Amino acid sequence: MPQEAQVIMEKVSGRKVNRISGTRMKRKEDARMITGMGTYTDDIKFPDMMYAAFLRSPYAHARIRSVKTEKAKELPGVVEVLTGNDLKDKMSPIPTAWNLPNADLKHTPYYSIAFDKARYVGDPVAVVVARSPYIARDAIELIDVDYEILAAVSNQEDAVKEGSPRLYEGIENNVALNWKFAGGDESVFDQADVIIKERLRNQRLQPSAMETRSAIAKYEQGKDETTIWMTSQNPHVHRYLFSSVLGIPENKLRVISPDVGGAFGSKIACYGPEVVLIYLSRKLKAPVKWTEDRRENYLSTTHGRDHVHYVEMAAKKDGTILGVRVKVYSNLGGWISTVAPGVATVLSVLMYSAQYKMQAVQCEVIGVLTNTMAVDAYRGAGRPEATFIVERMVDNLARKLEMDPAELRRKNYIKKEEFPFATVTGTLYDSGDYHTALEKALDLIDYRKQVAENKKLRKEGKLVGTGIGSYVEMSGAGPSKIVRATGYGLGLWESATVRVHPTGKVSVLTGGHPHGQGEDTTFAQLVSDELQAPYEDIELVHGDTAIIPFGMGTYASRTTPIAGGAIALACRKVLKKATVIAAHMLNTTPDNIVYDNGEFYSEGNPTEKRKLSDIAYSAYGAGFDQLPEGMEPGLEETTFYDPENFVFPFGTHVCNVEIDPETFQVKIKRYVAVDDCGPQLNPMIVEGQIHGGIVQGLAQALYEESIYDESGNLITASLADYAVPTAVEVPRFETASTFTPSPHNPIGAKGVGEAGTIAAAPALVNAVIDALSEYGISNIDMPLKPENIWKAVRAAKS
Amino acid sequence: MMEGLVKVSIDINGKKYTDDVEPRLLLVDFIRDIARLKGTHIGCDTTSCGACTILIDGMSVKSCTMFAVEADGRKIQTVESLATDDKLHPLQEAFWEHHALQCGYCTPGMLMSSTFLLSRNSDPTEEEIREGIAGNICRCTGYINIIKAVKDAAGKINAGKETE
Amino acid sequence: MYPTEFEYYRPKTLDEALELMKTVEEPKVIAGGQSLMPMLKLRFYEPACLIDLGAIPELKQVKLDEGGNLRIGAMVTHFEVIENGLIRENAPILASTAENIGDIQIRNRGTIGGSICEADPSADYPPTMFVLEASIVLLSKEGRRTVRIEDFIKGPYETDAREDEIAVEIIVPKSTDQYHVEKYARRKADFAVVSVAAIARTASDGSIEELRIAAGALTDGPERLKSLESALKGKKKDSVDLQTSISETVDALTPISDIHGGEEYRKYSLKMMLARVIKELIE
Repeated sequence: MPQEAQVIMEKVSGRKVNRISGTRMKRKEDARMITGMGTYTDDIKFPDMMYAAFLRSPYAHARIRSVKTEKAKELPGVVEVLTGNDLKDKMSPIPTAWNLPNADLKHTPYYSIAFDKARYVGDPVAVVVARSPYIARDAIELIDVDYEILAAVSNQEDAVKEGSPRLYEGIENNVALNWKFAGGDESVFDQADVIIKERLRNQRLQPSAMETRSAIAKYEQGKDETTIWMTSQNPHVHRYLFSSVLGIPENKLRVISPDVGGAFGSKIACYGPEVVLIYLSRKLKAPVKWTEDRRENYLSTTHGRDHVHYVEMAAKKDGTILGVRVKVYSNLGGWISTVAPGVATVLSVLMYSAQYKMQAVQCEVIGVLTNTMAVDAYRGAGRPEATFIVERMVDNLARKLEMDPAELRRKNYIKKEEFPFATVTGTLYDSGDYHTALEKALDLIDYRKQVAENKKLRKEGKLVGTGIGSYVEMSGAGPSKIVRATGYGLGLWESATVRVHPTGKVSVLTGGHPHGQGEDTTFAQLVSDELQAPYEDIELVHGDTAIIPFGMGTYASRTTPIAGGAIALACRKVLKKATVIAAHMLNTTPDNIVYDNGEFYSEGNPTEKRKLSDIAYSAYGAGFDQLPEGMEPGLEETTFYDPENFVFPFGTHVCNVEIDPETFQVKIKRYVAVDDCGPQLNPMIVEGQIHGGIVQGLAQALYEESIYDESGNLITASLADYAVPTAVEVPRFETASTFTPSPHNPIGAKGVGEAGTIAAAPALVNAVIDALSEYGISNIDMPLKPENIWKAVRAAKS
Repeated sequence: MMEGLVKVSIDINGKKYTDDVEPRLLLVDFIRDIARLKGTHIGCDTTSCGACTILIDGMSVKSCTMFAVEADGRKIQTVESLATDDKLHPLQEAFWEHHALQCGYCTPGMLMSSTFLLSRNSDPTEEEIREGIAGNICRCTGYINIIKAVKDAAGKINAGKETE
Repeated sequence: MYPTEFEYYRPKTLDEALELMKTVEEPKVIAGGQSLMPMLKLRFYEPACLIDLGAIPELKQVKLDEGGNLRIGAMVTHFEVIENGLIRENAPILASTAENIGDIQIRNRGTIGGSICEADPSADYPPTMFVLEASIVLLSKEGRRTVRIEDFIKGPYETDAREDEIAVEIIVPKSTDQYHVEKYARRKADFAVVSVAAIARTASDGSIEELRIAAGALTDGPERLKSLESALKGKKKDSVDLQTSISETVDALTPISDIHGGEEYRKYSLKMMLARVIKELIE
């Protein structure tokens, strides 16, 4: 029996699926990973390899008067020591890839190694190359830097004040961008019966991939080519940026990203150390490796979130939500990182109308430079922030109007029959059925009964609550014409090559670069389905710029819809050609050819059949009249799929919490997630993405916070202080799906990598605020650690 | 022998590795760089993440929090020891079956902690499993599938014992 | 993460170890290394010389002496503290305390002596040692001395041990009274934000015959809450004003404030924890 996911898939594709797509296939990639045979960057070793280490500024803001390297150079085993001054003419500053227009976007001349000023704790000041990583680490301690310590600022609302320390000459009040957005009818704010206001905060987070960043650059002098193995979500984008920073032709650079141990957005950006390694390997004509330790990772791999939102929501007495007006202070850190300008703006504000039929969205985003690590994309990148503020305000509005929060949502949701729906922010939601997902989640948790039970228990002094987090996210970035219009440096299409070898085996080259999301498996399922070829015969190839056509990489829940869409289209091209060859072989015309169960035959003669492998053999044989006159040999097709629209996954998560009235620890009693990412290539993997996503969302809600002190020291610079949850801290989840295909995608898929994270934080915070409703508390800033809840309750009581 | 180096001999997965090492060489670096067994990973500096978990004389420890010299003469098992004669260990089978890994980076450490747990407690409850892997951080899976996998593996190992 | 260079010694006997402590420059003892190694790797600490006590068998023993006291070798791991029959029988509170330490891997490798000598203000053992009125045996070439735990821990990461001394043994008087250890930490494996250890015995007439309470993770070091003990001791359990007594004691403390917990919050948590622990013990 086909699974539910398969039935949907058949509907979308209009043809029978071969029972592989939509099933819970075990992952191909696991075979190597459960046996310790994965190859991560730091596992790679070359003869005569040298090791780099970076001296990093211990001060958040300091002028560099001088850097003395003599003693370090004298240490036996040290090969090279270079400072910012040695390198500043050899490379350009690190650029941003997102030149947001109409935002007065400033450019930050941020160099790979600082030469004038250090702007955050961890800013590289010098680099050492040595024969062992131990010696390299020893040598950086022998470098003598004369710093003039300057006043520092780490909080964005402080940084914009007059007289605050300034990071860059010419950037007044540290404001690096100011982006105003107005969609819809502004007058609704005057007509509203109620306007509720709240200051909400999405705290700073440290992405915390278990594998830290690592890279090895290896120069091949004879060919004047450099290869860099590195932890990357987007190898081609990295090559493109390295090429521009170093002035090395793109075709003389090769980026290989082997197995990547998690990323969550933190391995998208172009960073200085990787650039410096390429330079060093060319200079020293030797392979040079560098692997971050965890402290370095926390100090100098991009952070996420750190937005302060001043939110107003306007509504009518009857609960009709009219619109939101938001002012956002977004902390960008010490420089403008690769996609940072888009995170608090385009990726967030366009989703401020969420699942609701709003009439106006107004926003001002102030992007602020501070003496902290750069902030960039982290799982969800802008969309969790948008969903959080809207969902929190919807709950507060329900409380204000004394309406049930589920009922308020129902009333305002866009209806199933209204899709595609043009929102007031200018996005076109492809498809959706928000009511069904909500009702399914409410049924699962037995909402009505639970709410009544909560009321009863609260009267008895128990702090119990139920919270809803509904979301729609804009994923599958994205249509190039739209992202280019927002200033993104490249299009966001995706490439795919489907290569049927003479033996009928299939290699699929994708420009995506999955690193845990399982597309080596799901794409083999997809291709098996599309080509009607055996699953075992299909291998995915990705992560190497010398092998793969230019690709955009894996992030933003884009790989299944966009890379998958590209692969499906390439498969269809392959079959088109194969059909012509089959017709030639079977002495008929292509429109008479039937392809069923992996075999071609003429409609009139179903007994004479040709397998795909027969066609492939002929395509490469190319002699003895095997190919039609004039046809090129080979059976391989490439697509560059540029989607017509984003895709918009959605869902509702609901949870019950109980707060210990004494310790104020939050216990998650039940957690129900209903998600709709369209047809699912592999429901097991979808569930896995949801599980992991929820835990990162609940980590933001309850545990994690990146903290800088007033002088700019990162207090949470280790896993002992930055509270990533362990198995003891997480609840069980009950997951379910609805299946609403996207009409704007070749395989109907919508992407699911970020969904759990987006939904979990508002669901949990809403539940906690609900549990505290007797105290009239409208907000507690995340993370909701017991101390914060205790403080809020204490303040409410007094 | 170079000045300051110490001769160290460690049995890893039944094979003896001998080398002259600096006393400060971390055991995990001995395993990865000298024995070239790359399944044991490094994820933190503070004994927090457990990616480097191995068994030493049957006890699970974090190999980034031991010096190689401290392991001289002892027996170590790494993730590479689990599968034998092309047959996966029941824990490996169960991790695969239950989608208990995504990026795979924490997986070797998780497997070794689970191996130790099951060696002490052949039928752990869900709470005991959570506690048993509390020294191992996974950023991808949300742990639930790992817990399921360990439970399932325990069941299969016990069923196997009964039929023997 | 790579430590600085150091000289390494692995003595096989206690004598050899003591000789090294006297002769080498800046000797630093490494026991299980679970606290020390992260410090070395982060280069917060750069000793010239490490003396590894891992090869000295007598430091790994647990014995009961003639006086009925437990004598626990400094190199006994937390794992063994939990599992050891003698400890479970004669000082069950200690086994319970060890169960709260870090995670399994840390308990498998970390040692009781190493943990106590680290004198981390948030560590698990010290409050328990305080209520057990344990002592530490220090040995050097100059001789042997026994120091009460309250005198041994002098401040955060600071002990009474001289540079040439090794803590070889912990003497724990037998204690089979009712006990309770409790710890609040953000995550299971974290250091405590607040912790309490207590033992109590009530007489048949309902009066509190014996009560010892200590708190950890609060101030510079563990605190034996003697004022609270004396306010309650000898009283009948239904005649005590627990809240007032606890408040008076706790309000006199000045807890630290950091990202894991502010001063006020630590005080609040301690009060709550004490009330719960004491109630449970005396009822």
